[in-house]
Amino acid sequence: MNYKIRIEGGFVGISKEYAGEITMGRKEKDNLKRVLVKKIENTNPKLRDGFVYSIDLWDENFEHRITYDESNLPESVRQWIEKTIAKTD
Amino acid sequence: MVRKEKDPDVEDRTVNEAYDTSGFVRTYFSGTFGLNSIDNEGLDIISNVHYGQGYNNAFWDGDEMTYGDGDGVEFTNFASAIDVVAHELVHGVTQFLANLEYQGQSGALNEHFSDVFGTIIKQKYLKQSITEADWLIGDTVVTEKFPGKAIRSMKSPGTANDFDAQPDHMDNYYTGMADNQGVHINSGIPNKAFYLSCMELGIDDCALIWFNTLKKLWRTVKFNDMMEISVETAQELQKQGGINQVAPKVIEQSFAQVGLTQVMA
Repeated sequence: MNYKIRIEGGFVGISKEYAGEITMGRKEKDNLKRVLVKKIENTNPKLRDGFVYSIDLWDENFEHRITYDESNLPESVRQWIEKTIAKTD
Repeated sequence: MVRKEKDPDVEDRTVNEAYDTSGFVRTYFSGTFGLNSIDNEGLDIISNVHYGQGYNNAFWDGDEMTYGDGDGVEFTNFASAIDVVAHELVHGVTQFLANLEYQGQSGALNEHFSDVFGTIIKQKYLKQSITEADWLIGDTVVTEKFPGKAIRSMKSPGTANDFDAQPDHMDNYYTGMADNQGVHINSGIPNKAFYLSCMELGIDDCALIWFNTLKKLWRTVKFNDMMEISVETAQELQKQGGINQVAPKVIEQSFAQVGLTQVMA
């Protein structure tokens, strides 16, 4: 699965981009896809200094682009981002 | 809940640092302006620490503050930095006093007020004079590997690190869409005006002017509105004998130096 993760904004205000290919098991991949295609919950208008997360994910059967902010980023996607970034670094 | 009001220190140093710095900020606002916590109604100040994994950020969510530990490579413990804690807490104060919309110029002013009181409170915390102070924001959350000395500079916007794109004059105003139309970028312009004012008037007079200005602002306020309200506020405070007699002129000149001048009616 190919990915591009862009994290912008925040108190620091320095954008970071991570890209590459990650190997995922079928179950993990299906779970992630299921969350990513869900309708995004309402944003929190009172949020200040939160990050904005843009995710591009694609392989031969799937292509998806989505943008979350700090208040509506699903926990499972947050954990996937953290794990993926740790592997990129 | 790891530590609540009046509890003794706990084992976790970050918890104690967040508790102490938040308390210092609350005491500053209470002692200086008579503000009863963030909302002037005694709101509980809640800090969440150790958020995420290697999380390089701190934020205000409308009710509470949240801090990451940093990745340990370029950034470290956001909850331990007095200016970061003050910055986030002041987002709460701004929400309750003026509710500045978080985009464009009102958003940049939202960031500006957080940096202003972050800087003021940092100098109070460190017992520094305006000439001893470094006027940096976030200098203690960056590591030696970070390509810069801090996140932002009030004295010299655009020079804090290799990525710092803050302008210090309206000539270089950022017009792009990123960062909610540059809320962390264009805040450099009023930040510089604040620094220039402080160097002439001292930080306490400026704190009083800026706090009273904030109370008069509205959701979609623009830089020019804020500048005019600052001058008006300085005139009012000067008539009351509470601040330096030259304050209105100094404020006007400081904003003029960053390209913001009063529109003649």
